[in-house]
Amino acid sequence: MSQPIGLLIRRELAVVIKSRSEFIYPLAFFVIVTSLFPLAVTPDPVQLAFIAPGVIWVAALLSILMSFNGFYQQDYDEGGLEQLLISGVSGTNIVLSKSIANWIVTGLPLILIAPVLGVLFNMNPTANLVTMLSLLIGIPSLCLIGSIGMCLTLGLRNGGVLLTLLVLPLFIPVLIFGASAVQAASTGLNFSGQLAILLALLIFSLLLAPFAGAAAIKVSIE
Amino acid sequence: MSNAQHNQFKVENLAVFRAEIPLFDEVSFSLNSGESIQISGANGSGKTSLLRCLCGTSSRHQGDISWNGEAITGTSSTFYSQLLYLGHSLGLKPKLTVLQNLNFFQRLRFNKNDQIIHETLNQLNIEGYHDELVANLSAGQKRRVSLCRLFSEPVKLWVLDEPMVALDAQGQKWLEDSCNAHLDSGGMIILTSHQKLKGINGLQQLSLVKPDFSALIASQDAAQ
Repeated sequence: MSQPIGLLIRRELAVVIKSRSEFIYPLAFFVIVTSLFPLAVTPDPVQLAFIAPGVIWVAALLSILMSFNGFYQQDYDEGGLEQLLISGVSGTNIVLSKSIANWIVTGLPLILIAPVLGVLFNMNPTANLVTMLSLLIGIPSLCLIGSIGMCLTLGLRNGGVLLTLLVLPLFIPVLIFGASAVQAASTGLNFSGQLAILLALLIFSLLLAPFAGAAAIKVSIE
Repeated sequence: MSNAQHNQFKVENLAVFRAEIPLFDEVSFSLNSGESIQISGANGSGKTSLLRCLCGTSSRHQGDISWNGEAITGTSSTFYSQLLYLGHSLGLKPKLTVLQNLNFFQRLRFNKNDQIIHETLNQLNIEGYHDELVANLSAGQKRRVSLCRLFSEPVKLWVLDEPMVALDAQGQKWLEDSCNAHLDSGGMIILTSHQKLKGINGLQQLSLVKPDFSALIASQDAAQ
């Protein structure tokens, strides 16, 4: 069982490394959107530090949302998903491996660039560290939850809009606790509670999302 | 042939539906090791839908499909370790090379064996392309790459949807010879084609017949 997952992840990564746009677009989107806020709202360092947690988290969430299409829709169109199922790979393994690959390809670059943007927003070093930590725990949940929506909308025309409507409400708890952890850290309060809830959300989605996604793939492939 | 190697694929009273309307009259057939069957029918008669049901990727059907006496979707069924389905979409990743694609599918179920892949690519006259991206190949060459899986993954049951499409005469001859070799070694083949495949030994025929809706409607009218 573990061998196919490793094999699947490696294949996803090989495809992304060849095409590049998959991880450069969400990253560029993340950087551009966050850097627009100082221009549009205010250049005042105190106020920037105040809005930074929300801005960084919302931008990260939207760029993750952008990245799903490349992982599922192309594979579906090429007949790859069908071939995997016929070769005896379980739907849960497919969802799990794609979510892990998605996290590595889209999530890790965001996590690495986030402190640079934090400095741009005049955040203190602790808050910067907590931003990275909260994204590190929060983004995998987003990848897993998004995979359910993506599997449900495979093969639909204009599936992107429907995907947004389906998964954004489910993203909200992660967004609230992620941003509030950073907010707490930047004002010097205790942030371990929020991180614990993020971790709980991750465990919850890790347990449920692969099964929901597998069922959704089955429905979509028919 | 020893008993352990004998396999049976059985289809009983299978009807496939699209929007709750049956596509064709119920079909039943069974295949034993070394047997093959060609499914024919007009465009839109449900050949591909039937094959997708046989592979378990579609459940819009009634009737029983079993492998060695057990339903193919059964939890202990070994069906998916013995099935290779080549349909209209080939499942090849255009951004990976020929060898990467073939290696991936091979290693899902079998041990890595580059030698057999190179030998088969050589027979198919595309040996020089193994490091080429699939995106850069022609339709016929992509078809040949996917046919290479017939040998790189030694399974018992081949399900081939229009395998002759986009193949030249030499490729068609190679495929017929390969089918015969597969049948001789105890394999089974289900294929669809609009051509007469005289080169494959002992190919059974099954044609899909459109259900007689007028009789159905007449009987309902009479009942009313």
